[in-house]
Amino acid sequence: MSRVRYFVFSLGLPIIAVILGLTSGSSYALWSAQGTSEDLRPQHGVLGFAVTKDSVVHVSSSGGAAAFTIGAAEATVLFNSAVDSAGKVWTAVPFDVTMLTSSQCGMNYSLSVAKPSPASVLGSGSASQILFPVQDPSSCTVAAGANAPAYPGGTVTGIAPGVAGVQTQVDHWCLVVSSQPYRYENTASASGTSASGSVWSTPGPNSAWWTFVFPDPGLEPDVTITATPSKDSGCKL
Amino acid sequence: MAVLCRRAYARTQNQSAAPEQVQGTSDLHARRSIPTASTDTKPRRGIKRSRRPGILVALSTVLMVASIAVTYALWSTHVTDGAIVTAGNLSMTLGDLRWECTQQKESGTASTLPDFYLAPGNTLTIRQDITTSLVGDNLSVALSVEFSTLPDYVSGTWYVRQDGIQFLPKKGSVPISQALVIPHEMYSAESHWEIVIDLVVSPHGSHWVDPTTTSSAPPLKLGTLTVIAQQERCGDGFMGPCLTGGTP
Repeated sequence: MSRVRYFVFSLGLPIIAVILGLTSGSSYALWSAQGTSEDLRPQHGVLGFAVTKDSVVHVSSSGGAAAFTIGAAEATVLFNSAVDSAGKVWTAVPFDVTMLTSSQCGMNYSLSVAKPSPASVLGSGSASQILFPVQDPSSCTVAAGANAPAYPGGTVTGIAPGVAGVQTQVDHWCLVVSSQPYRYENTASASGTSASGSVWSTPGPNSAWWTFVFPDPGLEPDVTITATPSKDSGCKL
Repeated sequence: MAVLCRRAYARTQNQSAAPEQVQGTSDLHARRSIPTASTDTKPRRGIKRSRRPGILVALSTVLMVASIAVTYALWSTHVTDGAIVTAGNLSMTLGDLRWECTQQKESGTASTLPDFYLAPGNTLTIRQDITTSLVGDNLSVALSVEFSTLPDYVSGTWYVRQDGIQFLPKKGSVPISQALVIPHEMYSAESHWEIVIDLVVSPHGSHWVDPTTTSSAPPLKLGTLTVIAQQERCGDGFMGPCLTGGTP
């Protein structure tokens, strides 16, 4: 047996055994007591903001603006609508603004409608956009837009701060859009040359005609309606 | 024993002779010096070698068991002749748990905590009642707290009160990773204390969700709170002093 192995077996093992015995015996002698509570799970504070039009939800990302568009679909409705006595066509577009707050935060928002191109259906003639709040989506009609107080711009009051728990609120809005198509008139006449000189016909009652001219609604560019949230100054989220 | 005797006999026989001159009964030594073609190439010392580890293992086992007994004996035989011996005690039970958030002016019990929404920068104060029994000469005990799943964006400090008065540490607070040794003057058969823990939530990620489909984010999992009273080897009779109101 080599000297190393001799040392290990004859001296090392007993030494290690004594150390193990001392340490195990000494740790067994310490007292301890403990108690454990139930699982503790508070919630993360959250915020949420979104606009919904035609059941399509547009969600704010990290507190930025949420937006939707109107375009070809609304232009087609206008194209197919009867022109009123003022030479205009109208349509109403309902949409919702949904808010969520917690941790006693409050939330307001603002709305803006982009100006459509004059060369588009939505921008033809003296086109207009009237924005106003309604009680529910079914109340969003062209007739309601005639008398409702329009949104003047600026901040819309949403959820008030200082309320515990989760707060949600849905605001219903109506955008009434009018378009004034171009009117094209034409009066037919005939002329001829007789031996005595040119003679013009007298237009009859059916020789004059006119029509409304729209840009192609299928090529209508989108118009963006934007909703921008803002937290109250005391909100930490 | 027969093996040892044979070795001594072989050495005596061959003290002054060269190995090749050995004859007769000195066959053991001769075999070592002049290997033969015999199949029996291993001398009888090989047999002794196989028994030696076994003996040493047995000896080591006996020593280890004796050591355990010795250390155990230190605890159980400390008796003063003619004195009255009273058993020491270390026990602890948890009582009620309450919470509060001063920024939101909200408070409640453990059952209402899941309905509370914390914001970054908020401080959640947890108050855990405990009842302790600390009795024993030369007994030193340290308190510590721990959460089973505390997120890395939540930091905490803690301290201990009795009857609304802070006594551990005497002032201020310590990180929740730090244990506190209980002063001896606070030991008694029954004490009612309040563990106060302040947890601060740091900003972490986006808090915005789709309000049309959800009203909450995944919960903030603090886990379970465990309060531990652990005997410490410090003070009289030990190597170092106990740091009263500080770390052990």
